[in-house]
Amino acid sequence: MGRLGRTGVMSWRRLLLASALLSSMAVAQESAAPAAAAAPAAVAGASAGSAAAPAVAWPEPVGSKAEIMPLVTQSLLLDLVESGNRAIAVGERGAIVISDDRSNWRQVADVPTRATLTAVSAVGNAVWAVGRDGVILASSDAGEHWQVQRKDPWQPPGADAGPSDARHGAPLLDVLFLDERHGFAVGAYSLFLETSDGGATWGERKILAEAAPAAAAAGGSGKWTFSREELKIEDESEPHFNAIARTSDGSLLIAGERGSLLRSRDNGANWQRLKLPYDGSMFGAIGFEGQRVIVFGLRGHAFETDDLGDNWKELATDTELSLLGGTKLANGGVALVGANGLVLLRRSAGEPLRAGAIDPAGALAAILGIEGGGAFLVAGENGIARYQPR
Amino acid sequence: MAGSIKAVDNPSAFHRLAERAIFGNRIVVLALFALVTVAMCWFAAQLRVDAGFKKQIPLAHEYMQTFLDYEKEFGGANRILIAVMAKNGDMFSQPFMQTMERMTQDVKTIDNVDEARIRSIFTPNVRFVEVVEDGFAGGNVIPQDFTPNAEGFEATREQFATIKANIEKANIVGRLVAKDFSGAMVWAELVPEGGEGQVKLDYQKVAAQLEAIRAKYENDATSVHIIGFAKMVGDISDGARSVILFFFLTIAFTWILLFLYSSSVKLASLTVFCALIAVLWMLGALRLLGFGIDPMNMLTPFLIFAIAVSHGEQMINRFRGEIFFGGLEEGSVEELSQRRGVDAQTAARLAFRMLLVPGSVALIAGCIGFATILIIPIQIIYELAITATVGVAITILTDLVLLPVMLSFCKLRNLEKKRQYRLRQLTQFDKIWSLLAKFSRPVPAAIIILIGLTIWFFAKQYGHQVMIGDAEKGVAELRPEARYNKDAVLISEKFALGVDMLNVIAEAQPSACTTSYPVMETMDRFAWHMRNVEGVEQVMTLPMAAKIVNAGWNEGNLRWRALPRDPDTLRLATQGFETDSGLLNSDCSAMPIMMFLGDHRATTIDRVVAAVKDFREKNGAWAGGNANVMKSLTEQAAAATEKGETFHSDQINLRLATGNVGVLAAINDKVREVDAVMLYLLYGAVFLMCLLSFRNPLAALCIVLPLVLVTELGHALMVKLGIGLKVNTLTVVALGVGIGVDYAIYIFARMRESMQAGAPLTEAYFAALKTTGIAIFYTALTLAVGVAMWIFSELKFQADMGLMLTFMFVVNMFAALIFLPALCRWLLRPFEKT
Repeated sequence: MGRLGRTGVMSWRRLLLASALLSSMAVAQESAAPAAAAAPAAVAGASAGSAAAPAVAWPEPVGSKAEIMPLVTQSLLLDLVESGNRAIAVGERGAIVISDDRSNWRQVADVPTRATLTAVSAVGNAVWAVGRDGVILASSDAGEHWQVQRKDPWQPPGADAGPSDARHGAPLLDVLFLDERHGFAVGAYSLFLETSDGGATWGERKILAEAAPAAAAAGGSGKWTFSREELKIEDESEPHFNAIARTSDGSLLIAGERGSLLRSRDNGANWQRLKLPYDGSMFGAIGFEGQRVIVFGLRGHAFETDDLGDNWKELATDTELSLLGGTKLANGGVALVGANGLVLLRRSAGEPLRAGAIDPAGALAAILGIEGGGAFLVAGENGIARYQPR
Repeated sequence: MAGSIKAVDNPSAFHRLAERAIFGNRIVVLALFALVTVAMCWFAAQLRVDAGFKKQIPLAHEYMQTFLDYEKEFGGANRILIAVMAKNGDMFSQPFMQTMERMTQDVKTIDNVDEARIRSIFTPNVRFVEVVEDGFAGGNVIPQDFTPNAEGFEATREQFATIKANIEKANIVGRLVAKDFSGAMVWAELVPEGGEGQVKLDYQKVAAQLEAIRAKYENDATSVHIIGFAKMVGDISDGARSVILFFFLTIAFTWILLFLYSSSVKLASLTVFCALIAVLWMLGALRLLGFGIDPMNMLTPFLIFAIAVSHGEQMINRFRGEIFFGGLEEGSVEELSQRRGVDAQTAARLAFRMLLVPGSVALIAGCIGFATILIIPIQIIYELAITATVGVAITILTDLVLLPVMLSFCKLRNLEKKRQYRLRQLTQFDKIWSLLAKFSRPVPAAIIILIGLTIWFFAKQYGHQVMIGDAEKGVAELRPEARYNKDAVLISEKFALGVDMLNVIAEAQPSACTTSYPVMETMDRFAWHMRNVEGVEQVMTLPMAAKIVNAGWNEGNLRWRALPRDPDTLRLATQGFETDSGLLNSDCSAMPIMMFLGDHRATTIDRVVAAVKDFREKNGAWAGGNANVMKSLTEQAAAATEKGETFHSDQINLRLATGNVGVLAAINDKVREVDAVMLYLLYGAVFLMCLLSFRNPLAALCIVLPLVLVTELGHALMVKLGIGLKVNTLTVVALGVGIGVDYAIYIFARMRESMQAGAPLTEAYFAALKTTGIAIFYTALTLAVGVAMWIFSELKFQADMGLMLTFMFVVNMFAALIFLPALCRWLLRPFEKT
């Protein structure tokens, strides 16, 4: 792998700018057609001379059915959830696999998309899965049959009147349903979708713009809140919303890119901006009893709050591996997973996190307790594995 | 053979002319032969061993066109793998790393190695990428500050830990590093053969250099294991040297057999001498044709020797008949003892006159038989066919011209003693002959035909299971206990993914990896489809790496491990890859999908290739045939740019295939396709020659049908012995048929003479057996001895071939003796009363 040297801190903005520069350079070098102005995909082979045009058109993945593959349980799987008596895992290429006994898995047929599914959420037998290309799928029978509720793939400029907008086709990164009707999906570039009819219709909200900065908590120093000026910059940068969680008292918390946080105490009607005492991104959030939340993410950083984000306490993880997924255990316990097969476990609220790992090591994105918490299922780049803590 | 009797009594104009030309100027003829022989000696002395990778490949095959199109960019299949194993099972020691570093340097000095494509943990083209808090870190597997060969350098445990972690991040475990970290490999590739500059690789030299590297680094702590085409050729060439010994042994055994048959040192020596002259001429002709001696082609001289001896035997048989009894050895012992012989010159003339036509026909039939092999578009087979055809053509000259001329000078001593020996020989087998003659009676004949049909049926069923290609690890050419094959087994055990590679090349427009999401997505999905095919252990391709990079740009979040759709982000994910990664060409208009297979069994290859074809057809990812979509799209893009237009195409063309398995797939394909066609051509040629000489299609059928039976038995034997059908073995059956047909031709020619003289079938057959039976038996024995010696060869493929050919020669003889009369009964004389 070539020139990938160490790069400095880069925001998406800067990356896109850099890439645009690079692309114009590349175009100049190659004197080929400018990529950005290229014609839509449909012209495949239209002017092919000696080479015959293919008889079959390229199957657009977002609208194509997922394919049943024997090794699906070894493919990239990104989230795990329980619905009914069943465990459901979702992942790359529209893969949805289900298991009743947590050890034998069956890939669900006729999943109506091949987009990578990043997260799944269930209320009883009702299940929603979200993913890339703005896809939202729903099932009402614990994952047996799925319908598309929303899709929004990136379109080449010119396909619609609007200018090229990276937001278009932004991937959804997490989904949460409060009940069978009311749910949220969050994603890249501060994408926030809400439904109140079980997903029949999804509406987009600019909650970042709506949000008021949180009033400094009693006794809080105020340094974790924003100034108006800071907020303005932050709004523009549209941080990714990586995760959304609910505590037992119904409060909501969204964790995102570069320490950005939002909270709502009224089922998502109003949102407040918060800030972590750390600039790095948080990839996950888990809600517990009362107003306790744990967020975790980049370079092994994890924080816990008992007051929905007014005060944060950093958890000792003793790792620099990024934490990518987690699940709530009884008594305030938590299981977190991350890069290199890392599994962090604490059995109750007071205990420290203890590290374990699966072998062969691979990045993990989700974990789910089985057998009454005695063992776990983990999902990640190498598919599903069983983890037995020592 | 038509009119042989007539020819003796009343020679045709052609016979008279030929006879006068040759026997009228015997000294001139001998002088000419001597002259040509000296010249051929000189040419033959210049013969060099000449092995080539591309000679073994059907270059016109679809897959091999791909291979030729991209061998410069992605390398071909001509790889050399050198594994260094730590004997204590742990590669993380300073001496091991010293060896590894120095060996990587040494491999660069091997002739014709493509330096840019050498890979080991010490080469800069093997890198890892990892995601860190603020982006990526990437680097060489071996850190800059790790210099095991530097003076005073002491490796630390931390450094080894870093290296191990880097190896895992670089995803080379099982490929460049042993699964259990007990060793590591250096991969090298030889520059493409031929093409511009006409690179001619000296494989033996490369093999010797590899062996030198092995000698240099193999010691108490490390062992060195080398596989690859170059090493294989070297080992085979070394093994092939033993052939020279076999050749002398074969000559000795043949001479003894001939002596036993003829009871004359002179006759035996003359026959062997003429056969040797034929071989010498053939070797000279090889050089004149611009060929070398290919280690895979070592058997041809043996074959020519055997053929020359067997036809020489017929000449001697006739010569003796004339010199002892003044004609054909028909009639009772008493009758024969009464007859008087003629002088040597007349005997030689008469033998020449009688055998000129039938001998030529049989040899020309052989020529045609070998020439049919030419339909296989593989250079090495082509060379073999040409060599054999030329050799057999030369045999016509040596056996039908040189031998009778030399015989005419021959004065046999103890003539009367030899005459008595011959008389005893003639009656010795009478009981067997009369038993065999019974086979031509209607009822036994019917039973024999039924038995034949049954055997044929079962042999065909069984023979159908004949395996295409190789089943074993390593190569079938060498014995399993050969160092090469032991190395191959070890390497495939320790480095599961390094050995068998099949690369599909995805062709698209220039810059497709940054501008065409459909192309990248199709490649990615294709890679995943292939990963799910049984036998595919790992797949590597640019989109898979790009997905990891895309996640990397998003702080390593696994949920971003997907291909971006918009060109700007896609560019970001792919532009970091350079051509030395082997994942793309310079403008990413061609990108390989590399599949690492668990083995190279034909069933595995078939399954994987079928899956590739299925995918590309169902997904519009194939332009058909050998179309080079990369070229046509590049041209169109250039044309559009010239006109100031923009050009964009999402067309993708998945082309099979390079890598060693790609080559095997093409060879297997060709072998399968050609196997049946070649046999039918062979049968057709033999049938036609028989039809021409006997003017009776049923008679021709009587000769061809036993051949068909024996051929099926040959296939069944291959199954039984686990010999796969591949380039080297494909020709064996053809050679067996080409030579095996001689017996039936000689027997039938005699039968026909008797039948035309009015004898009933059974009687005619008995007469034929009595006069030619022994000659046939000895011929088969001579041929078989010539090839049976190979069974003891160091090279397994020679041993296999020896066994197969011995079988074909001997069984063809028995089939001719048993089935020919039975078939004649029911096809030629069904209503004759006995």
